[in-house]
Amino acid sequence: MNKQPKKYNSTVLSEILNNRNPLTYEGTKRNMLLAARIDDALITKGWTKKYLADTMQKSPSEVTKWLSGTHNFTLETLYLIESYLGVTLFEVPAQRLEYA
Amino acid sequence: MKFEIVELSEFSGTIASVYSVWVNDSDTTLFDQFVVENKSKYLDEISSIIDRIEIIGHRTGAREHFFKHNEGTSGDGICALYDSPDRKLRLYCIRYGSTCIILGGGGSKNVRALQDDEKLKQENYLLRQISNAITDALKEGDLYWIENGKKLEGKYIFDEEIP
Repeated sequence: MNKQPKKYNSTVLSEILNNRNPLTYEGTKRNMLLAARIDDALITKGWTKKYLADTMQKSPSEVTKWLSGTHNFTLETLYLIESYLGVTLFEVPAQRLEYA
Repeated sequence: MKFEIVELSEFSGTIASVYSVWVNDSDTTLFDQFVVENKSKYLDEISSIIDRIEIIGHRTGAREHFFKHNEGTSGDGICALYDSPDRKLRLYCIRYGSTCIILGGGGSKNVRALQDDEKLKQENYLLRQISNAITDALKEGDLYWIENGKKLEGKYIFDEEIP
């Protein structure tokens, strides 16, 4: 008998995955990766979620939303978090755009 | 109750494993049932939940802050995927650190207290039973972790009286 659980391909999920909006997916991925990066920075600094909220004079529920991976960050919020945590969350490439 | 743990190929990735369960010989998982029950009314939200679970498996892992904890009894790992107040759906799961989750079912959260919503209560209590059986199997060594706590191996079919 196989010792590991069966791998299951769901037709229900496949149908939704095949029809999903790529832009929405990329937005969700961006929000979750930003949340993960903030989480890592908190762990590195030894800060709790509450300490960050107190330090930034934000409500704990707002920081909870940031870390949940569901928050649509504004650039202003990202810059503010960067300044407190000392990490880069958003970077604009330094080189000039080349126009055809 | 009889149930079988199955690994969801669409979601399991290099960072976290994602499982769900077939209950009583059903040919769909609890998570499939949750999707089917809600996709016509809340398709955008279902799509968002599916995207998030895929990203958990392949990119971020099941980070603590992505979930609402203590949705079951002490120590059973029952939590809900984070849902902000403006969201309509609640999905229950069992989280084992950041490397493994087992998806259960859920429903729309029309009322504040779990005990006041029969559907959510039913899904939550079913997952509590499943979690207890899995915990017992892990304690007995019938089920165990491999790949640094990412994957389950051993007893994955349960057919027993669950009180």
